[in-house]
Amino acid sequence: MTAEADARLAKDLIAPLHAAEAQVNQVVLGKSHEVRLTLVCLLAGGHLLLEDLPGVGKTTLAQALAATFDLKFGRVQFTSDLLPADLIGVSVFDPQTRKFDFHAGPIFAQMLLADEINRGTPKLQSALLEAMAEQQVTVDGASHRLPDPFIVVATQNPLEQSGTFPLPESQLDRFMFSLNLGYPDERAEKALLGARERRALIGDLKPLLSAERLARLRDAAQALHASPAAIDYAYALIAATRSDRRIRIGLSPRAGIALLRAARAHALVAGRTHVLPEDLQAVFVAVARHRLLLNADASGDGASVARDVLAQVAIP
Amino acid sequence: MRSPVLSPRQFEWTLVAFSATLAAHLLWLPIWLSATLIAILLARWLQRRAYARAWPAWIKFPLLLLVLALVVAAFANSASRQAGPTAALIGLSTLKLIESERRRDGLLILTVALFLVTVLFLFNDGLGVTLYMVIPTLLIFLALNEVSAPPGTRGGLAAELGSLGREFLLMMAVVLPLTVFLFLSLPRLSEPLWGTRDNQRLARTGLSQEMTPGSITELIGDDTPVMRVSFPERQPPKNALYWRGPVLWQFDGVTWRSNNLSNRGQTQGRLRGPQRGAPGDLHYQVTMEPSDRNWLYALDLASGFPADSSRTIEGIVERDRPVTTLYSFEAWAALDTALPLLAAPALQRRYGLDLPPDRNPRTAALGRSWRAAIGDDPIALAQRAMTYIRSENFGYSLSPPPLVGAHRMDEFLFETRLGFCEHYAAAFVVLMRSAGVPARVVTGYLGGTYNRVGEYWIVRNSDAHAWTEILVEGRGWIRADPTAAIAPERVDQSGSAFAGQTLGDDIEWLRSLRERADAARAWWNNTIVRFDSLRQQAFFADMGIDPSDWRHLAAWMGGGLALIGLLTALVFYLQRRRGPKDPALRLYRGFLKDLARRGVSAAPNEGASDLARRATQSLPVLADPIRGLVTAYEAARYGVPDAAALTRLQQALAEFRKANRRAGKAGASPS
Repeated sequence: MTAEADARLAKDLIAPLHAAEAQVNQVVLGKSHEVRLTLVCLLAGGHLLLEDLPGVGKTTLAQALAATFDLKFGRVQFTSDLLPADLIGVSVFDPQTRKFDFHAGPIFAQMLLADEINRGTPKLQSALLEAMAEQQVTVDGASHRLPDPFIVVATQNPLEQSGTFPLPESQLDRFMFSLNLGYPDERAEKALLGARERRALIGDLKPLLSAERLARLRDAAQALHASPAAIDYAYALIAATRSDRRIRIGLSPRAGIALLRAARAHALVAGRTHVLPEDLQAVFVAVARHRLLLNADASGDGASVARDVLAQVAIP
Repeated sequence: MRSPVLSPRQFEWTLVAFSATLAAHLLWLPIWLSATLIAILLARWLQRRAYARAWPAWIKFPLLLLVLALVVAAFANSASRQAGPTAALIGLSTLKLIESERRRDGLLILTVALFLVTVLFLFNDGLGVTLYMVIPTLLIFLALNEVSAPPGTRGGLAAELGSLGREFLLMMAVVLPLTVFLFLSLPRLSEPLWGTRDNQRLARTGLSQEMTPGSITELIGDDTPVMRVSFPERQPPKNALYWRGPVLWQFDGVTWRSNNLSNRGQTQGRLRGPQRGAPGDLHYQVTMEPSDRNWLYALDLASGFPADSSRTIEGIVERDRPVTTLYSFEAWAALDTALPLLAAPALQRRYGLDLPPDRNPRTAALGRSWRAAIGDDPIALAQRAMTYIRSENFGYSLSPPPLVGAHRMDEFLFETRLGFCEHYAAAFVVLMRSAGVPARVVTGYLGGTYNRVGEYWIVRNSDAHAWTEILVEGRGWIRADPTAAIAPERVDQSGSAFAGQTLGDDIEWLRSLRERADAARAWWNNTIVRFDSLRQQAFFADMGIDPSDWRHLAAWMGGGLALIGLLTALVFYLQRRRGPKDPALRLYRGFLKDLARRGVSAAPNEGASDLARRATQSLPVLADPIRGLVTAYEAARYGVPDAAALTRLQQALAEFRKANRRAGKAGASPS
């Protein structure tokens, strides 16, 4: 049976996956749940939005992931004067060949860290988000394929509002997950303080999973079985967001697809061949929090409302 | 799009359901056709187990010809309008099973099988068959359920039946009241639409208008019921129950025949119903099995018979139409009353003395000698004959030596001297006629078996009897039963009991069981099969409803249907409210209940694995069974479809419960 073969294949891949996870956890201390979700996002083929204060390890996490997965890493610091060409690249006239040569920008990376994405202008943001959706960029009428995999890890600072351009909801939808790292707990933070500088550690990281293996893992994840019972539960969760009074706009069908993709990837990381309600529960908040548009008078944020929905919807 | 292939399991379900349906039809199908069909089914089953290859055309085509030839041979000359086509349908659908490889074929076979269940009632509407048909019907629905599901998604048979059982009961709760209501309300015809309940006339036995030696012994081996009789007012003595059938006059030396005297004198002496029973007469109610004959078996001297019948000058109660369905009537009898010569006295006298010339000279001489010695008093002559039979070493036997040759009465009276009712009746009539006393043979049934459960008499073919009547001037025809002279015990017992055939009648519980079974059949016949337009009118009258008044009718129909609609809505509401459909989830809910009793209750949004983690912490004794169960549940409900997963879950649940009981006994309390 193909399902069994897939399961065996996944087994072969899962051991290195867990080793990779452990390695990232050595660098990013005390964030095993977030690291797990980041891996899930990677396996589900999604882009990641990290919403947090500066200095809690967003960049470290992205770099550790890139190093562990042996991915070509690129980083762009978004500012209000950054132009799309600075991100994508420019065509330069070569007088010798009398032709325009394309000079690729930093977006041509397998893992792109887009720091403080909300500081970029809407023009810049849409250039990035288009690239995320199509996995290609177009300059002067010529399309250039982006590398595979192409994973964007964007960060934004939720507190600083001055001089920022908040991302519109439709564009937030391009991110599969939105995570909040938060401060590490006491033990982890003390260990962090006592240990070597993080950036130095990243240089020592061994590449444990190739891009090719990552692609196989992704295929294996999407081949996992989601039973009608699991789909019932996924639907119940989505439907609940559409009828909750605090929520103005609930989850879209695209969000539902993302939820199920993420749950499959989560099941794979957990070493299962089928999706459980627990998988859906584990990824639901990360999938929903940035997509839920709350009513003006609603208390709390997307994450807390999403958690409420999880608590209220019974597993069918 | 091609229909999916039937899995072995689905195929076997189809085969079993069809075979169960076929089994009931084997009751009436000719033996060769039955044997062929069984052989085909068996071969098909073995072939499907052994090879996947389809049957080649060179096997299928001759088989088709063979089956059709058997059907044509058996039914080409059949009087029945239904038997031939039904047999052909059965044969063809059996052949269809040979090439049934896909789901579409399976569904077709099962639909035909359902039709065949219905068609069976054209051939047999008895209680036993009706009860049996529940089995194929259930099997067909189970098979339909099996065939229409994608293969591999079904659990074990027990789980299947468990999940279907409740659905089935709910369905029944809707369907049964509707059936009863329609049964009571639908307009009824006084006879079935197709005229006769077609039942392969050839096979029906009973009395005929002829009697040859052996024709009654044949009946004595036949236990089928002829009629059931109840006496609402008083029980008569058993030896008075002479149920009158055909009267036989003509004797050619071998065979006795009716001479259709009754029908030649159509109006003369014929007493048309309805007649009122005379006061003091014995009142009785009869439910007759179909006989395909016109005559109703009545007690002498009959009166009070129904409107569509009459009493002939021979004293037989005849119906205008043959009795082709269960038929009920009531009548009265003046027991021990002679039948007067109502018409054609000269003709009756002449027929009553008619003897074949040049036959049985010794018998004739004996009769004449009595006449010379005693004179012309018919009573005295009859007594002389009785005395002769009693004193001259005659014996009663159901297997007497065969009579051959031209002078059979001589042979019997002077040589073999061993016979039973028909021999004695025949010999007695020949003796009387030789002595100048008009006499005739009467056939019918004698006595019956009393059923203590239903408080009625059942008369079977084995109670067939032949007796005689002699003409006494001034009084009429008087009954004389020579069998009583030679074997009085025959008159006091039922025919089959006398023949020693009712095994175990002296075993009380067996007899009681038999009586109960027959009482159930009688109830079925009277209440269900015989619910005709008359009974329907009576039912409406009892309910105070006048069906000819549209307001009454509308109230009855509207009220009944509304009530049933309400009931249906309630049932479906309950079904929606009741537990989940998924058998895995139902088992898991059972586990949750057990767990809650141990102090661990699951939150509605708590996944099984999370619950297991929590439960194993507070119930470490049960950690392993809980983990096993949760794994099995997750595999059965969320895993890749697997028929065995549900079974594993059932096992895991059983194991958990065992461990739970053990833990409970050991006094381990939840922490």
